[in-house]
Amino acid sequence: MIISDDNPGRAQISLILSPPEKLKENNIEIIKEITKESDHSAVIIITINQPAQYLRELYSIKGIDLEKVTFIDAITKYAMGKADDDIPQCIFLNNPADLTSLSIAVSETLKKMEGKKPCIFIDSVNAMLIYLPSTNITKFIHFVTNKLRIFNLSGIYLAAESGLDPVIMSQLLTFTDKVINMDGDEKSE
Amino acid sequence: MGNTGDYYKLVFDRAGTGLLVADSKGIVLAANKTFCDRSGYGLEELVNKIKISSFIYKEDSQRVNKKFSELTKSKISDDSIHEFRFVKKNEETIDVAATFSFDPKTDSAIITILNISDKKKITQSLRRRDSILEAINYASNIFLRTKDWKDVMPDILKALGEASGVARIYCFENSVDEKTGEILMNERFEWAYNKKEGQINNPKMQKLSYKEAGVLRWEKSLGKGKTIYADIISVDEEEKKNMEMLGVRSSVIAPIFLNDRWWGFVGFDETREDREWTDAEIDTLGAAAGIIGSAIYKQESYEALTAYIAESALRLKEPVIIVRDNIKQIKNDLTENIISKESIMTRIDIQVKNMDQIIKNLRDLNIAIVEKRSEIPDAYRDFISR
Repeated sequence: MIISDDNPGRAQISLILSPPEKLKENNIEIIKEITKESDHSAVIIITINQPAQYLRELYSIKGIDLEKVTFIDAITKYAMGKADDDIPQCIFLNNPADLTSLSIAVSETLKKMEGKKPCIFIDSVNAMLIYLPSTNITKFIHFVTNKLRIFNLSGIYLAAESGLDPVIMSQLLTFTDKVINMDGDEKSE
Repeated sequence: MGNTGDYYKLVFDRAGTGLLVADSKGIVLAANKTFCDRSGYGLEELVNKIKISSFIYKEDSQRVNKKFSELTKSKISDDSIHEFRFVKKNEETIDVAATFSFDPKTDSAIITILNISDKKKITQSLRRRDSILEAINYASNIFLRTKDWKDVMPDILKALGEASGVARIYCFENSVDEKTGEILMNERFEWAYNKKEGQINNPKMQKLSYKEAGVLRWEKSLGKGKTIYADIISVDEEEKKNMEMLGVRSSVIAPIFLNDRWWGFVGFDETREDREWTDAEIDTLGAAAGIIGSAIYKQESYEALTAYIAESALRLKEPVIIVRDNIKQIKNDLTENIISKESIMTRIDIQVKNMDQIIKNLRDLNIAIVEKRSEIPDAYRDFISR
């Protein structure tokens, strides 16, 4: 429902709007669905708000196949000063405001997963706003979108509904193929 | 003393007003010393040799000659004063006020000529100043009603150009050369009496350094808030070269300040004739630049405030909501007791870091607001930037 497409040959980029208090539940629902999809063998989660270790525990409890999940964790090392490098399939970044490192991590992870069709999942656009000015966020989303388009990969940008200003929202709409409101409404392309 | 005739001759010769006697055809029969001095002609060059129409500027001659003919034909005197441009022997023109009286007994006309050039200049200058003040008033009203000062600048420059009677007005904004730190001028708006004289499409008018333009003194004076007057006769060689290239005879350049920050300048060029600018006119043009600066500053302040409100909602309100929701989730995780203590501790540390960042965001936003606002007292500036 979330990532499946009427045109199976073409990967979709979606903006998913969630009620703020349900961001965690919706994250789990989305990842569960992505990892179940046969066309999407993997997911790269860019997490700015929740530590990778925490998400791994949650996904494990919810029965998600962790083999299909790779994390780019931009917050743990920054908040704790260190991170557990033993956590599998996880890249820790030093600073969530360092978009260059984040972009390099995305590129390198995609390279490592050559042959697979990973979906990139950003959790969440709102959390990025804590550490980045809105102009930089749109630049980064633009970069990720271009990568996805080039490799014909799917992407999901999770955001709290009514938490984004109209300018960011209009820019996100130009990058995405469809907007899904987790309250049930779906606006398309 | 001599007889009455001698007195009359003395009055005629010594009168401070130029006096002429002419026959009904306008041929000069007598002229006093003041007239000779004023016209540049010797008495022997005038008497019986020259007609009064020779002294009247071409464009005024039809009107004045017609009046003179009417008087000589009707053989009456007229108290009315006739203003016209008087052409001297050296072809220089001065403004004069003349009266024509006809003496039927001698069939001759007595003409008085009073030099009113200075008075005329003052009157013209006052009229121009009043027109510029009207244009400033117009500009103030338009700026108040418009959302974007840039939209109305062409209209405002046109109004100022027509009011001041100049050939060209231009508005330049400063920028800084990132490599050298040099201040550069960039033409943003222009009005020209003759559109062919416009320079706004000239690529040289962008990112032009004051030094390169030969007007380094402008940078020093304008930066201190001083209005500049330049005429081609008195400026130095470098500046003269620039003026000649642009066909300028004289200019007034007034700085535009946004509060105490030098933003750029507005310039008024005369290209068609030599022009004397009075202090009153120059001051008024400075006031026009002040109005433009106020409009830009008002809009910048408004935009900064809007940006502050939007960015503070994004970078303060939303993050606080995220932290609040995260804390609720952490509480749930603790209640459910299914997540490891280590993960929960990490999440708590992240919320502390988030709060630190939100405080930093608030400080950065405050600094962005206060750094361009010199009117904010230093004590308050320090407090909100801490």
